[in-house]
Amino acid sequence: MFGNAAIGPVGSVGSVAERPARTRSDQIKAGLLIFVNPGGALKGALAQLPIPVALGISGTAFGLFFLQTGLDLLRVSQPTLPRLAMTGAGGVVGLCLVGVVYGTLGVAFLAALAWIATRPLGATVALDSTIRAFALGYCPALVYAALGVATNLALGWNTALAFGVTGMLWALGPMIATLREMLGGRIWPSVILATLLGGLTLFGWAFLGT
Amino acid sequence: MNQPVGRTPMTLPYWTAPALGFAAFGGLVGWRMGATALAATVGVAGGAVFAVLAASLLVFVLGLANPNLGREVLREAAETGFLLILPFAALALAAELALGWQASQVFSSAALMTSGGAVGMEVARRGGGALRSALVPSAVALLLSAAWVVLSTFAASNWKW
Repeated sequence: MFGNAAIGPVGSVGSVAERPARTRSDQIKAGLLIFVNPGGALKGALAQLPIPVALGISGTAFGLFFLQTGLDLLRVSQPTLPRLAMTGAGGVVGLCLVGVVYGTLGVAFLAALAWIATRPLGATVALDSTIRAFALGYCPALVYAALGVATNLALGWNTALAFGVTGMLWALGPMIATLREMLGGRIWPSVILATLLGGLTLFGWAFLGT
Repeated sequence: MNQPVGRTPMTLPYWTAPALGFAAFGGLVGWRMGATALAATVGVAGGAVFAVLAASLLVFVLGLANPNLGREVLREAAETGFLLILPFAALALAAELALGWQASQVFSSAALMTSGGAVGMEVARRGGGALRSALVPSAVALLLSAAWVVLSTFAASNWKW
């Protein structure tokens, strides 16, 4: 699966990720490589993906995450969002759509915040590259969310915390890798910014989804 | 173009960040189970000890997997990679204290896996094998994550504070 990642001169980590994707399988490998080498994957094959596709990945991840939240809430019959008409299956679908919007517009907004915050620190990466990298960083979250929905439906477990939040946390790795790339390798500003942006993401879900 | 290595300007041992992070995770576990300062303190100490041992084990295994690299290179890589534990610890504290979540295990598992992978990537940037630097620390981190969940749950469930 990661065979090509081992080939290449010393220092060129993840050579599949660091050359333009020629085939769909290269992009799929890069998408899987994001689990172990997020920086390399985001710079290479995945950098060719159009922004709508990238935001589609994060939107789908959050949509499935919020779907799990809705299913869990329905299962335990907890009070839900007062501002939405949440009743039964319609409410679950509504919450899922909120997640899709959160995962597209919300992630784009988050990336724009990061772009603005890194300008004074000397970053020169374009806004569209930042949005693409942030959105694609949710590839692991998409995998976790899909597994969570399958587990939720098949086994009747409450999975929003175990699978959904875990997936969102996995996005911190690619986020930090992206920020380090934007900041010329500086780790401390990357860690601090990722903490703040990650907190925004989680608190946003807590506010909207619970 | 390869990402710059970015030497971290830290003078503390490489296990400092893991110790701080897991002190937070342990404190949360202890506080939730005992709801006393003693329980939280025991959790903090237990978490820090676990993290020092876990970080040392990970660096040791990476050294075995990359015999061409010196001890100083491995420590530098660990120093940078383990910093990734701190955001997870901060978010776990915020989630528990501000939102009332009981999810420190979720945060600690993600912290170990992400930072383990990051340490591996730092080793690879410094001349380690690309594939083994990606997979070996992730596998070790997965085992350590399971060990933390088992140990912390056992301690919280069976010891009287």
